[in-house]
Order: sequence, then C-alpha cells, then structure tokens
Amino acid sequence: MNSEEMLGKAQQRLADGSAWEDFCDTLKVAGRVVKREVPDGDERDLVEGYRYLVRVLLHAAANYIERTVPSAPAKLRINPPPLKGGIGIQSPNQDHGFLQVDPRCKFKVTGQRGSVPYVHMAAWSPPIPQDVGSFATGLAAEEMLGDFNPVANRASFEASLDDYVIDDEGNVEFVICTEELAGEEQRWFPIVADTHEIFVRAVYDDRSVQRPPRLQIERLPDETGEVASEPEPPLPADMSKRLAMGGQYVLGNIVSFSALRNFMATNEFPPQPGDGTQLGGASDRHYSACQWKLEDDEALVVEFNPSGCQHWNFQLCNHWLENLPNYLAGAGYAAQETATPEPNGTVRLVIAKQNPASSADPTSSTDPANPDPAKPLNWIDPAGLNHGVLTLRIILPQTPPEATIRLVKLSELP
Amino acid sequence: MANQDNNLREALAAARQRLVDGSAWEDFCDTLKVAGRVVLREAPGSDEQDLVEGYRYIVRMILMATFRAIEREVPSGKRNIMVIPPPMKGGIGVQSPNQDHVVQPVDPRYRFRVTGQRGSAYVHMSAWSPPVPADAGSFETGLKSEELIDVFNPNDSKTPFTALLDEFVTDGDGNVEFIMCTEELAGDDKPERWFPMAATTRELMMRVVYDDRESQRPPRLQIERLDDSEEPEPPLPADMSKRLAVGAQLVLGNLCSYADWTRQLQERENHLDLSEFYAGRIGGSPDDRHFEFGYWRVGEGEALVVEFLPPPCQHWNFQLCNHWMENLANYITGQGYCAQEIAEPASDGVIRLVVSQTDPGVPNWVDPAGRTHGVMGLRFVLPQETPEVSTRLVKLADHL
Repeated sequence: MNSEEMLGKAQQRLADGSAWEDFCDTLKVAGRVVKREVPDGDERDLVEGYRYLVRVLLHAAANYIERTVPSAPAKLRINPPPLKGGIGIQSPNQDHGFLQVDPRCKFKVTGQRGSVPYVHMAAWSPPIPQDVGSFATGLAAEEMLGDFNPVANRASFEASLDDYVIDDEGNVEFVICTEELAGEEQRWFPIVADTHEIFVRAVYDDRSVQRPPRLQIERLPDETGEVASEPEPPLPADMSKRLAMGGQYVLGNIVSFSALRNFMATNEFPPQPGDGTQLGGASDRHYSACQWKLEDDEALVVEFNPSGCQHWNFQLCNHWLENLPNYLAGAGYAAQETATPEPNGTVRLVIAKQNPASSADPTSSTDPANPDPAKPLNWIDPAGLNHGVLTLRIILPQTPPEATIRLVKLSELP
Repeated sequence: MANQDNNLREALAAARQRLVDGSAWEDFCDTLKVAGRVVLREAPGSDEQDLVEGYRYIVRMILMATFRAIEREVPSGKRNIMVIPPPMKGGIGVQSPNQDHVVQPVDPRYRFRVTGQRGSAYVHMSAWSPPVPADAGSFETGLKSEELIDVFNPNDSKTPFTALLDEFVTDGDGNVEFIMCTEELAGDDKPERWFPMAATTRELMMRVVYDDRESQRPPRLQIERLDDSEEPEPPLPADMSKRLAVGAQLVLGNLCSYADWTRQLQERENHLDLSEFYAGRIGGSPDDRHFEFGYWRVGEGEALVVEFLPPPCQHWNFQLCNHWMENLANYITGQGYCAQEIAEPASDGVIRLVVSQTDPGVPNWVDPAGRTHGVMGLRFVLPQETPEVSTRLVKLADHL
C-alpha cells in the first residue's frame, strides 16, 4: 500500500466510525487482560485493574490522542508524580517530562538546567507501523503487540542534561534531529525514524530546595525555511492513527507490565538486577524487583549497601505496579534521604503489616520506634495490601548492587 | 422497607458479579461505542473536521467522567475544595472562559460542613442532582445505554437548590460556613446555614465569575464530612461496577443532551434565543443569568453582527464554539470570544460584535479561527432587566 492509499484508508476508517469502534474494542480487550491476569479472582486486584485501565487511558489521551508536537516555542512541562498510582513502578522521587517530537523535523531545546541533582533523557522509540490507523485493530489488537506496542519504549539514545550545559550559569542548549549536525556534534541529541518522544526524568533527593529544569522547545525551519505546524484539529487520517495509538497504548501497557510481573519470582530477587529497558527503563540504573506476598505474621527484610550511588529508592506496589494509596503521604516506599542506614552504609528495610518496632517491650529502655539504633529497621507500611510487586531502584551505582530479600516470621525479627 | 433492603442487597450482588465477570467493563466500552455512533450521526453533513473534533470530544469527556464518576472521592476528613480554572482546550457546553468551577462530590446520605474564605469573585452554587438509578451497576447498559438516557443520565444535572456563597458569609472578614444535607437544620443548628441537598444530589457545583483575574481572588474553602464513615480504598467491586456505569453514561449523556439541543439550534442559524429548557437539562445556572444560545454559520466575505445594549449586570460574555459546544482552539489566547471587560461599546453604550473570517477593521471582532460554524452563546450574569439582542448576517463589504 503506498502512502496515499494508506492515508485514504485511515481517513475512511475515521469517517465511517470504525476507528472509534476499534478504539473501544481495544479497551475491551484490555479489560479481558485484567480479568485473565487475576487468575485467583482476587476482587481487590480486579477493581484496581479496571481502575488502572481508566488511569492509563488518561495518559493515552494526553500523550497519544491530544499529542502536540510543538512548532512555536513551547515550555516543556515537568510533571510531578501523579496523586494516584503512577505507571510501571513510577518513582515518587522523580518528575517526568514528555518532549513530543517528529523525527521528520529538527527541534531546538534551550533553557535552564535547574538544581535537581540529576536529569536523564531518553529517546523513546517504540515499534509503531507506518500505516497505523489504516488497518483494523480492535478485538485483534493483542495479536499485534509484537509489531505495534507504544509501551515497548526502547531508548535509541540516552543522555544526561548535564551533557548539554553550555556555560557556568547552567544554560543548556541542544538540537534534536536524526542527522548529525556538522561541526556541532556536542549539541546533537540524536533520534531515529521511530522516535516518538524524549522522556525526561528529574531525580530529586530534596524537593524543598531542588528546582526542576526549565526548558523550551521549538521546531526549527525546514530546507525551505518554513517552520512546519500541525493542523488543528488533526486531519481525519491522523485522528484515526491517534485513536489506534491511544487504544494500543492502554492495551500494551496492561499486557507488557503484566508480563513483566509474571516473569518475576515471589519474595526473591533475580540473580542479576535488571534494567527494564524493554519498557522504557533507563540503562543508568539497576532494578531488583520481585513479586511480594506477605501473611499477617510475616515480614520481608530487604538488605543492600547503596554506598556511592546517585540515588536509590524502594517501592511497594500493587498487582498492577501502581504505587500504594499511602505513597503521597510518604509511606509505602523508602528512599536514600528518608531511610536510616547502619554505620557501614547497609540499609535494612522491613515490610510488615504493622511496625515491628512498636511491638517492642514497652518496659525496655530502648526507644520503641528504634529498638536497636545500630540496626535501624526502616519499616515500610503496605497499607493493608498483602501482595503485589516491589522494586529497589539504584541509580548510577558505583558497584553492581547486591541486594537480598528474605521472608521471616515477625517473631524472628532481631 | 425489608423489601427495599432485599432489593438493594440483590442489586449489590448483581453489580459485584458484573464487575467480577467482566461485563461491567465490557459495558463501559460498549457505551463509549454508542457515544461514537452519536458523533457519527450528529456531525452535520459528515463534515470531517466536526467528526475529528467529535471523537476527540468524547475522549475529553472520558477524562471528565474519570474524575467525576470513576475516581470520584466523597470527602471524609477535612479537605480543600478545588477551584478549577477553564481547561486549556475546549471545555464543556459553552464553558465560560471567565469562570472557574467547583465540582465537589457529595453524598446525600451524609452531612457536610463547608468553611473558609469567600474570596473576591462572584460565586453561585448549585446542588447538581441528576437522574442516576440507585441500582446503577447492577443492570446492563452498553449497547442499550442510549435507550436508558431518560432515566439514567448523570449529565442531566437537575438543580433543585441554588444559593450565592454570599448568603453564607458569617462575619465582616468574609468567612463563610454552611452545612449541606438533606434534612432541614433547626434550632441550635442555625437553619440559616443550611444548603439543602436532594436524595439524588451528587455534586456541589460552583461558578466563580471573574471580570479581572488579576485582582479578584477565588474562594478558599474546605469541606468535611460530619458523619463518621470511611470510603473503602479501593472501592468495593459493586461500587466499582456502578462507577464504571455512571462514568460511561455521563459521557454518553453529555453527547446526547447536547446533540438534541444543537439540532434545535440549527433549525434557525445565526439567531440567538433563550433556551431555558435545554440549559436546565445540562445543569445550567437556573436563576442568576440570562443565557441566549444559537448556531452560527459565517462564510468567507460574510459577517454576523450581534448587537445589544447590556443591562446593568454582574458580567456578560459572548462565545463562539464548535459543533460540540467546545470553545474554539484560540480561546486560551483570549480570542474567539468577547466579554464585558474587553469589549468596546459604541457612544450610545450599544455593543456590536462582529464575527467574520477576516478582520473587519471595526471594534469587537470575534475571530472564528478559520471555523465556519458551530454553537454560540451570549451570557448575562445577574442582569437587572432582560436584554434585547439582535443578530444579522451581512456581506462584509456592506457592513463596512
């Protein structure tokens, strides 16, 4: 099919309503995945699963259906963690920005680096067929995920924002395009024909004093000297594509993250930490992840020594890799800046239904919240859940992290 | 009573079953499908731009439904009431660029106290009370959802009670306090502080009208539930089934309610008229404003002239919208509409607005951003008398 036929077909699918029906049917398939991925019929997982689809649908609406590739200079929005859930073990210590780009054009980014310690950027380049929007997806959408999965965000290129600082005042400047810039290699942020967006992670360890980057993006003129702009509203063929992308994003999300979870052992870290790069993970960090399951009289003890890393945090998530409802209140996770290490730098985290410290002998002279100051236990509150996914994330570790996790009876806690 | 309890128990069991067996979700998707069929049916002459905007509008309505129905949180502890500025894009039902809104979920089984500061803008309040069956979530909607619209339409925000926030100011410092509940307050409970709810009330809706956002401050309010009760987190399965059903039906109801109304407006293009019936059906403010609606169609070389002498009023504004009653894409940069504080009156005080594709070179040009048709609205808040409004379509050359 040549590109004119393809556009004609996509336009037809919008005009005859099939693009919309497919969008709804793809959501339907996503719901069937939720049901399939709760084989024991746990009702809480089901409720959270359907709700998760709705939350992911919001993200699909913003980033795929309403997606705006800038032409005139526009500010890059740096989004704080969402009030609820997040996507794929989303870090409470990170803000995120989505720089939407079109690889057929060049973009210039300028602005201020800010004072947040670390800003990582990745060119997310997922497999998206050229002719999306022109073919049916709908009830057959899951079979297409191998070739059409907006969530399979391979990073074709990664960089630190620091690589593009141009002066002592923290000004940054770089150009995003597919072709190398002659003589200006150091300002080039390369993308490939599949790049859909640049994903920006800003990692904080003290939000009260650290400022996010303030960046603007503008499209540069093409060979004819014109700055291309997007039609408003989108053309019908494009809208057909946007709907297909949005629906497939929701489905790809629930399928891919479920597969990631199913690959994990329970209460046991893999021999080698992973980097999650098949789903948009960054290669600058290690994840020790597993499923967790806990009875009321049990505790999970996680130990590791993160000395020298840029940042680490640990999150308890639900079955769908969402943060727990208590995470906005600072519970359900731990991070470098909140946990107390042992004198040698080792961190011990204890996950248990109730704070084991508070059951310490009240007649003892030790502080009940911290019975042994030499071995702080850093309690993580699972907010009433008894299973899900957990992750230890270590960013820029100096040595490959070795983390252990073990299940013990509460009574066996030291 | 026992019978009622039995019915309710059965409904809850059925709703839970529908969540667990997947039919609640399938219905959610099928109701969205029906909403898409409404778009296809209602796009005039299959205009492709209208179609694209129609489908995009459904997606925007899903976002709205997510917050108002699916994630809906009825407060238990004390919390701030969010005042929402106009959205970056579109809005709902000729949404005013000069207003912020509060859409605070409440539950008529409980009493709520609202306290805080009045701020310095004009604030009107409504108890939004749409028809939502008590057993929603327990029965099939999906492809049958449109047939249910008369009895199950969360968008049909009937407004049995309204008030001005000013009625609940308790002192000279602008502090406010009122209690929302279904039972009248008596005696020591200070009946003057009662803002009533109906058994069907779902939301406390507020319109905060500005004419100078620079200097006028929104209200800063808190709401707390006076009765002990915690909402389960996550919601129970039966409740989630209901949330999904209400959410999808809110999207469909929105499309359907506006479609009927738009069709009526299209019968007489380029004309403005009071359409109380339809404004009431979509939760319009029933008692503090005179709101005229119409369907505009202005081609190249034409101009639609809207003329009126604004009566003394709290505020007025005029909006051009697209076929789906969304503000035009240029409204966030201050175009596509006109308002009291930016319009230039003639020497006799008459306002003459000109809608045309190109700048007519006279004051009060309203730029349709390349669009040729859609819904328009002229809103007078607290007018002291009924304004007379005239419209005429002229050749741009004649007008000049």
